[in-house]
Amino acid sequence: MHEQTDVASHVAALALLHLDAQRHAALAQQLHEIVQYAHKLYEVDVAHVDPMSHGVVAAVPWRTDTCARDTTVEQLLHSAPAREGTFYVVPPVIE
Amino acid sequence: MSRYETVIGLEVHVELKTQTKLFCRCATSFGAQPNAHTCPVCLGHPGALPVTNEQAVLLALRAALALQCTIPPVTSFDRKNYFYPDSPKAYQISQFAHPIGRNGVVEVAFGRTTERIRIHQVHLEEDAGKLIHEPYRSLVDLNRAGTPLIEIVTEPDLRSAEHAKMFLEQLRDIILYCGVSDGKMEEGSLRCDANVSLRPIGATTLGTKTEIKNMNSFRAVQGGIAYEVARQTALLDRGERVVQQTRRWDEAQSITIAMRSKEQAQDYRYFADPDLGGIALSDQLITQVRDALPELPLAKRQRYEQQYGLSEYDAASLTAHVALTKLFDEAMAHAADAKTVANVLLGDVCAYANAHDAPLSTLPITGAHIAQLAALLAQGTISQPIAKKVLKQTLQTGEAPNDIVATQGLTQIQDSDAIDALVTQVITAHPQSVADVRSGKTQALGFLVGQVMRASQGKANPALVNELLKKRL
Ligand SMILES: [Zn+2]
Repeated sequence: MHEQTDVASHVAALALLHLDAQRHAALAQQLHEIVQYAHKLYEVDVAHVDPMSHGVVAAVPWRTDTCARDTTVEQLLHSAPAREGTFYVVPPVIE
Repeated sequence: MSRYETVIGLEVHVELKTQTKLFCRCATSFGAQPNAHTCPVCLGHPGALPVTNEQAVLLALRAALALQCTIPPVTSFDRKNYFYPDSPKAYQISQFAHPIGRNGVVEVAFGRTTERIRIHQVHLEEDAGKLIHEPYRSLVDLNRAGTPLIEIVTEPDLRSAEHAKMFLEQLRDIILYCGVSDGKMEEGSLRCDANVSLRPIGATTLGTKTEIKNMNSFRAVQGGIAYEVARQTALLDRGERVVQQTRRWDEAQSITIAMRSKEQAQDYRYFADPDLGGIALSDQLITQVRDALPELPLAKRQRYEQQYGLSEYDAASLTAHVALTKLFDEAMAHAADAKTVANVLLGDVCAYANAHDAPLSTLPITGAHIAQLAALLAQGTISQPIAKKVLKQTLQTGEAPNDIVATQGLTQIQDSDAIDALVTQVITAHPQSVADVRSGKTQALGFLVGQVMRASQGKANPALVNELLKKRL
């Protein structure tokens, strides 16, 4: 269980989520159950099976390299939390 | 002599020459109003689905084949997850498990030896957007977000800053020859990061490396790596340790500066992108793309030396520019004299392009023009000074040298009687110079030859002029 708590903290940090202790404990428990379920796969012998990247190969549509646009900048910027001209504005990013 | 061996690996990002982004139909062109080239797909709006740009995959495949990579039967895309405002989806679509090419090689001529620099892998990915940092906020322009790139990762096979620069130049040439990218480092369509470490000479394990970013020119790559080698040498000599970190090349100060290390570095949680299926690369497609590859720079350079007997210097100078090799190959297809063609191209044609700040490919001259000029010279139809004049006119107007010579009557005067008449005129007009030559001041002869040439409007055969003048003095 302790291991799952650490995984939950790690994933929360990567996802920039701030969890209080109660929520953290609940999510750690759920994560533990999910991972346990996924671990059932270890019971399958895959020694001679190639790793699969996707269910579909070759049937995927491609696109020709031609420009087109269906939306205007204004329509797209409509959902911006903040803007300046046609820039999106975000809190300062420190390098 | 240093006690250490330098070990360098490069990661090179190349912007592919496509009209549209990797997974949407937004234009990749430069200089638009911020966010003008965006759509729900490249902005990562919920529900928007990516569709792969066929041309981007074909160009990446071409590059991977030019770098002699092994191509997998199926290539696929993975998500590289990270949070940063330059990436609206919170992940970059890249390739992790099945990159488009692995285990390639680039042959690089370092002086007289040719070395094989191994390529670890070539993969396709999307570029990120651009941020403008202000004191209390950052501005986001996502026009570049989703632009197709290939990343070329070398094995740690390079051994000096100079080698790294030469490798990169060779790589740029291959990219240009194949038409995969315009390869302009200064404009950001070719970007390079370097991993640099030192180890005691003879050691086989790698030392601790630093990664250098922000090198925006070939000079910067050489400068950044050289600085880092010197810095690490000094550290090790003092008995200190090299700290693994990312450093930024500061062009103005000519130093590398440690960047703030990201917390939780390197946990990108790659996984196969469920929105994008795998792409099958059939043997037929691979063969088709491979067969269409042009002759690559090093092979061309060696052929120029062997087939045409050009000097190493001339062959290297010609193959350094795709436009020059095109003109040279075209001219040679007309069975011109190789040395003359090389001289014309590397001399007057390059000088004209430089003086007018015009890329060679925009000049109206063709290989057939160069071949005509070389033939006119070889047959003695025109003199060297006339050839220069004719070439200049061709470069300005695109008129064929044969036509210029015919319409302007520039054919070289080979007739001794005609030249002798001019010699008589000049001797009569310049008695002092004649006296000078006769009293042994040979420089005066050059003056008289010049006068006869001028009187003939440059058309007299200079050798004949010399001969006839000498006879009369
Ligand atoms: Zn788009």
